[in-house]
Amino acid sequence: MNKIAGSSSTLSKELFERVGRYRHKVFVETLGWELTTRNGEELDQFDRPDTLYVVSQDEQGNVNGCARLLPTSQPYLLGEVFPELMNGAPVPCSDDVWELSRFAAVDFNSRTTSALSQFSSEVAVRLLQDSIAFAAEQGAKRLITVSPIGIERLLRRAGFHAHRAGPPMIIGGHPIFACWIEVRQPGA
Amino acid sequence: MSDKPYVRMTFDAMQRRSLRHLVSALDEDEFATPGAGAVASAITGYTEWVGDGEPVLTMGWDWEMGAGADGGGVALRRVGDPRSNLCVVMRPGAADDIEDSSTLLKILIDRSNWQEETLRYLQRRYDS
Repeated sequence: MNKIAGSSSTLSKELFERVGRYRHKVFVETLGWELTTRNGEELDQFDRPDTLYVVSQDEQGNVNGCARLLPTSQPYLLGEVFPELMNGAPVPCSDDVWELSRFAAVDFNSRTTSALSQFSSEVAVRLLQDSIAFAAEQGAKRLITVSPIGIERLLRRAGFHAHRAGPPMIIGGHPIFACWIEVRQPGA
Repeated sequence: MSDKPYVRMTFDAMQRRSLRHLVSALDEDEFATPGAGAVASAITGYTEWVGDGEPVLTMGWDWEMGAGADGGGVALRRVGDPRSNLCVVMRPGAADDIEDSSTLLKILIDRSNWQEETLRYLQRRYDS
């Protein structure tokens, strides 16, 4: 697995477009989420010049995973769209709390990975570890994520401590929830 | 940044709270791609429960389906650690310990009758 991390300006234009198409394939075509799309790419208002991405590619250069990181001191998905997932608690707003969103690790070129799961492979575990490490490099001490509840299993497998911020909500037939992730190395 | 991103509660207080079923499902992975020589050895899934009242409690855990004790039906068995927004302690002054909390939550889950409601829900959800 090859990992590339950076903003839209540091990723190549071609790779960034492929990430947008990959997200469209995962979240819109496979999971059926009703999201903003543009020219076959899934991008929204939180894909800004300062947004950071972690992208995983296989040996042939196919995107097989992605994650998006936003500081909560700027507008972010949970704070703007899903504040109710905090169960009444104020949404985080701090330079050392970052949001992880649009996490996916579906390998569409693998016969052994379910296209119905974002989280089933070893790629997913490594991508999550890389994403959290990259957030830590930016100064994150804790992450908050809006995710399908399956990500809790992945966090455990990857050795991270996670806590729900509130109960899941059923949105579009799928339970999603907000989850705190403590930023530290697995096993520390 | 808050120091404690969870709801702290004593074991006694937790025993007085009632939980209601929110959603359950089968794991999709085991059924989506049966190729590559994979053989499903067990039917597994998850269940989610929430507590009424304040503070809102949320708990979820994985289960495995097997034969019932009478040999005629099916039964669900919790597997693995529960996932929650809780830190359960034995006494009000006890130190927070996530490992201990997980053990206490497992005791609470295994004492409760969650299987019946979960099976009913699963039958409605997949019986089409």
